[in-house]
Amino acid sequence: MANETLFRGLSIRIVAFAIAILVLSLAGLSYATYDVFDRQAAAELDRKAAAVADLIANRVGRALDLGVPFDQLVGVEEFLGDVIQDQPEFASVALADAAGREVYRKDRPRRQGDVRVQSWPVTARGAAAGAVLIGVDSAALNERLVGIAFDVGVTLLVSALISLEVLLVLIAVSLTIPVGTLVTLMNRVAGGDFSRRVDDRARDQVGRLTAAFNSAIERVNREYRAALDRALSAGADAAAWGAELSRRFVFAPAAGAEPFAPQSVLFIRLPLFLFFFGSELPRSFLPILAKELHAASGPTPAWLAAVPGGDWLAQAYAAIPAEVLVALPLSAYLLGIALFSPVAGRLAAARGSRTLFSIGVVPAVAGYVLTFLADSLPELILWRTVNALGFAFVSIAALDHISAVTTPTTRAQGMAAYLAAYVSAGVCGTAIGAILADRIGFPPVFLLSAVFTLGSAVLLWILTPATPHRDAAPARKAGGGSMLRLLATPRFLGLLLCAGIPMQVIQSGFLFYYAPLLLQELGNRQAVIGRVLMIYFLLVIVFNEVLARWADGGQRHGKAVVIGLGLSGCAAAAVGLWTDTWAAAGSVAAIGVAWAFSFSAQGALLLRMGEGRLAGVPPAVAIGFYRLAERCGAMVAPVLMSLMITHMGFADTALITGVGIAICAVLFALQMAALPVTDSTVPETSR
Amino acid sequence: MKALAFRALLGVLLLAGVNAGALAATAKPKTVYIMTFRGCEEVCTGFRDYLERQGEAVEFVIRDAESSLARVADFVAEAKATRPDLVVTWGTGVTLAAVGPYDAVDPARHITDIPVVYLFVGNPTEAKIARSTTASGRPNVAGANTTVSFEAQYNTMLSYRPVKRVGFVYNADEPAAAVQAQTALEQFRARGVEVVEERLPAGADGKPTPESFAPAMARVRERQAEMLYYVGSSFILANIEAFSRAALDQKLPAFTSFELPFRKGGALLGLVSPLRSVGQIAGYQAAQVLFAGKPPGELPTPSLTRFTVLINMQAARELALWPPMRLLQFAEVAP
Amino acid sequence: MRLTLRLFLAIWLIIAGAAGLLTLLNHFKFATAYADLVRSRFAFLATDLEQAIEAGLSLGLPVDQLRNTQAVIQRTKDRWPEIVAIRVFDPAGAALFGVGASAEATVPPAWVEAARRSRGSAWTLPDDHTTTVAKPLVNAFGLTVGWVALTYSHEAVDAQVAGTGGLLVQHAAIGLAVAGLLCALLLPLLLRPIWAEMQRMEAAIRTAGETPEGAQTAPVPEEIAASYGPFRTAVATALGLIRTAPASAAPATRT
Repeated sequence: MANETLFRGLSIRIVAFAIAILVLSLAGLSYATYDVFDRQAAAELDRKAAAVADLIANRVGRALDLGVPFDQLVGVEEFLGDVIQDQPEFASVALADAAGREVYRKDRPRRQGDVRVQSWPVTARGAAAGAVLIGVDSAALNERLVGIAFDVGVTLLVSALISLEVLLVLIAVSLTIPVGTLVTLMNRVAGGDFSRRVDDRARDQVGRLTAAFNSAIERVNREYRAALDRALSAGADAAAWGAELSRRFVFAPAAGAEPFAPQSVLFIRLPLFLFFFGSELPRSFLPILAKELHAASGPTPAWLAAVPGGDWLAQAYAAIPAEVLVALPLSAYLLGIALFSPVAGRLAAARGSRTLFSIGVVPAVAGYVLTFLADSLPELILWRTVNALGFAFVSIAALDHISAVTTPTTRAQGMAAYLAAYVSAGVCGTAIGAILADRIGFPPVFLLSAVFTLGSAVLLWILTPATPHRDAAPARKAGGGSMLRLLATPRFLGLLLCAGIPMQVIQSGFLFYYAPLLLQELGNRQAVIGRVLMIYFLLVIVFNEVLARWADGGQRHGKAVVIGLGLSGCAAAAVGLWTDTWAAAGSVAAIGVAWAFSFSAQGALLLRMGEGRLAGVPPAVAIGFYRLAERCGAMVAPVLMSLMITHMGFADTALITGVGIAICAVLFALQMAALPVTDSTVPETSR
Repeated sequence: MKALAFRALLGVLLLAGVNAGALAATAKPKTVYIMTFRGCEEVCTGFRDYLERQGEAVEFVIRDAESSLARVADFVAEAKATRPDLVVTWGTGVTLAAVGPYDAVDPARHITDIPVVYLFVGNPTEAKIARSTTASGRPNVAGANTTVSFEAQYNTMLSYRPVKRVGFVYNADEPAAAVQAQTALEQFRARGVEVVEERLPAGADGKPTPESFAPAMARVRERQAEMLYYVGSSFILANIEAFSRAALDQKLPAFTSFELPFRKGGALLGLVSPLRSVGQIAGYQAAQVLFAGKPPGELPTPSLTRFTVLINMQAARELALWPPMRLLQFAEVAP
Repeated sequence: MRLTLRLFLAIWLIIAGAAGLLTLLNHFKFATAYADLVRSRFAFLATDLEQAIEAGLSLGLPVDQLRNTQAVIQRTKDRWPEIVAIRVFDPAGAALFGVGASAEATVPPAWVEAARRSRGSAWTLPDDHTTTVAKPLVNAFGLTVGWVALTYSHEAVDAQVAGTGGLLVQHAAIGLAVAGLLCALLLPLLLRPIWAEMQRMEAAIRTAGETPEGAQTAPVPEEIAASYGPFRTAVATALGLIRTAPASAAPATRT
């Protein structure tokens, strides 16, 4: 196993270097872009100024024609203010008399950058009477371009995260893992084992280093065999010599040293990141797309009736309330994942995780392409289910791979790698997806998802060595009986009902369904919605580890769950009280922190309950059940939210959700007081 | 009468020439019976134009009371006999004579079962023509509220110059003028504007004389009124030139919500309902009754949302009180 | 130096991706902002026309009797060459006044539809080569009695935006070249110390057990240092033991 600290300094330096270059390039590019925009827009700004000046000159000329003396014009400033009120391109507008003296002037309250003053004549009674002077704000277009700053920020953040992801994996694969293997084997040699050589065919300095090691091993083995041959032919004293050697050392068989193939979760991390990135791209606009498609395709799409047996289907479809239908793409996706995961688990056992991953890519890509082509809501629901099949296969393959290449003691780190890939893909995918949707529309983003998913499969084949095939997955006894027994356990049931399901309602209902719709309702552009959702993923990244350590440190898992619930409740209720974009953004941020508080703490609590308190069910199995039950909550949540929004409006929905979750927090706190969880058995590592 | 009917028919035929298809589709043209007080003037023309533009065949029957309300009874009898699709009444007097006040309807003398749309009624609720300002409250009667709201008058005055004190110079002898003055006074006071009142003194025959204008204006001026608010009355209207002259001599700018004092006198600023608009808005209601089949009693009473700002540049020059640019943008300016 | 090349490619590709994305986004943003700016100019002109026509409506005249409307729209069209047409039409779509427009008696059905959907507020209808901005004409009693629609060609705008796109791509290409150059120069510098250490380490491992203990203090990277000592000792011990094989018994075979 690769040593964690190996080449850490170098990795940090390289990542820092990459990010520095990235920042420099993007900053330079942005600067140049602004420059281009300013110059390109200048002529158009002048034309607009001319239009405004025409109008002013006209009106002023009329007043002068009517006999109003130039210096006694009344309310000119107000009039000028009216004219440029909605024209941010003009910093000032003034009126000069025939002598060129500026008599009236109106400035915009906020002035910025260089102002270029242009002049147009005012004529009255056929003679020049003065001039309109308009201050054209050369940086005016920037006001219209203010969103670009956000785009630059998001692009920078996302590409920095991707660099981190890619560079760390590259360094690991090319440097850390081979050298780590080398260290492992050197330690084996120190223990007397000369039977393994490093399996590395790299032609760089690392390759030469491992080659040197291999040649050292080879030399020892060669000399040993030669000596053995000699000793055997000599026969004399060989026995004592050989016994001494084999007592202290292990040598390679005559065929040569066995290659030692390093295993690491890092190999799978990049493909996994790309896959998740693809699946997160449509995250922020899926509910909005569902609404639009429903509006476009109407109560029953024509093709549904044309399908054999479609009559019945069409009727059933028409019978479902619109608000439920619109939430179905998200629910069907989650349901699909829950249903296909067990199938995927069995396939993983039979075919190995790399094959499973590759199989999963097929429905995933197909789902995206079909979604791209979809023009009705039933299609969207159907193709999202196909996507779910892909997601189930790939995520199970990844988890299977992780459990194959990790030992019980490193499994938590393996899981952390999985989660990190998921969460950072969440940040990058959601934000980029939203920005792109804003510019190119929703459907093309699905094609991009397909491209990234394909890319993940390609990377998997390039990067990952074939996994040693495990004969059979450890049979998990997961009968329905243990499920029932678990549900009869107060501690388990309490945790599930008061913490697990409410947190899912907050995530898939409130965060992934309610928030995008609310933000759209408030008139935000798609890019803004993406940015807001990105905050959630970002905060989970930032706080996940810190808070998990905090909870582990003082056995504060119960407290962490209560805080997480309470925070989520307040966050949702706050949106109910102040239903605006800032409240929504703040709420999303708070939910990010709440998730970081409670997610790993729930698992830890289950582990700490131990078999004794879980009706004899092993905690790892209990966690499996727990996640399954949670997912059911996650499926129902969007539908529930949608119904609530229709019947009570956005504000009340948030308020009731918030209050409900806050009540759960209180109930769970009471449960922790009444039925405390203390370490009972030997802690077992979480899956 | 025959000539009128002929002219109406001619109008319909002309219309038919333009829009033969529409006429062919319509079985029978709608008949509109118009009772006027002094002939079909601008309001009445605006009304007719509006209806004719709706693309449906309409036949107009126009009756002129020639300034005598007594003749309206004949028109009512004729309408009852010929049963037109709609009766239109011009002005408060004619309307009251045709439909009666809502609390004293006599089916023998008043029209109760033919739709009636009234035109150009200054204050339909006060005249007991309509029960409320939002609807007539009578099954067969509809009409619009075309008075210039006080709020609009006040805002127009303010947009010309800041006003904290206004002057009234009026003939308290006329009840209508007294009522108008009282209402306006309350409205001004409610907005924190002081009112300087000057009632014109009665002359030798118990009636005021134009000679009393100048001293009244001087007193108003002395008490620092910034604008003269025109309170309508027959006496002042009859002497509008002298009245305006007296105000201008005291450098008093005048505001009016009546068109005539502005056109004939030297009022600086006016806010009026354009006569054609008054006709159009009634035409709009008539179209609802005739072509959309809506019962008149159920029609909401529309109000004018935009009025015409009038500025008299001659007065402005004399007072050296120049109109603000904003107002000038929308105003109709008399040069 | 495969790792150096890999890192170089990775960093450069990420920068290329980011710069590409940013250029794409900027271009889109510029296209929208610029089109918005142009539209705001014509919307401004349309508002001016609207006010001029409504001033007439306030007097109670029907739209089609406002004779000076034709002159007003003609003047605006003459002033701005991008304007293709200005039309005034009633809610049913009948054209009342027009300049530059075809002589048809009605406006396109899409306009009537857009007007209906706008419920009395201004609307914009973009087309392949032109954009139409329209403002409602509201009469004295708050009814929308018609529309003034100004159609302008946005071909010049499109050309401008395309030109800007070209410039942006140029900038991005220059930026990428500079970034590539920086990476190519600095990355090897960053990695050189590691390679040097590894080279020495390679020599140390290759000769492990051959040189006497202590004679060679291998300057190894600290990551491997802890394991190197025991490794060398083990190799030396093993080789030592192997070399003490009872080769002296060889004569016995010969006998």
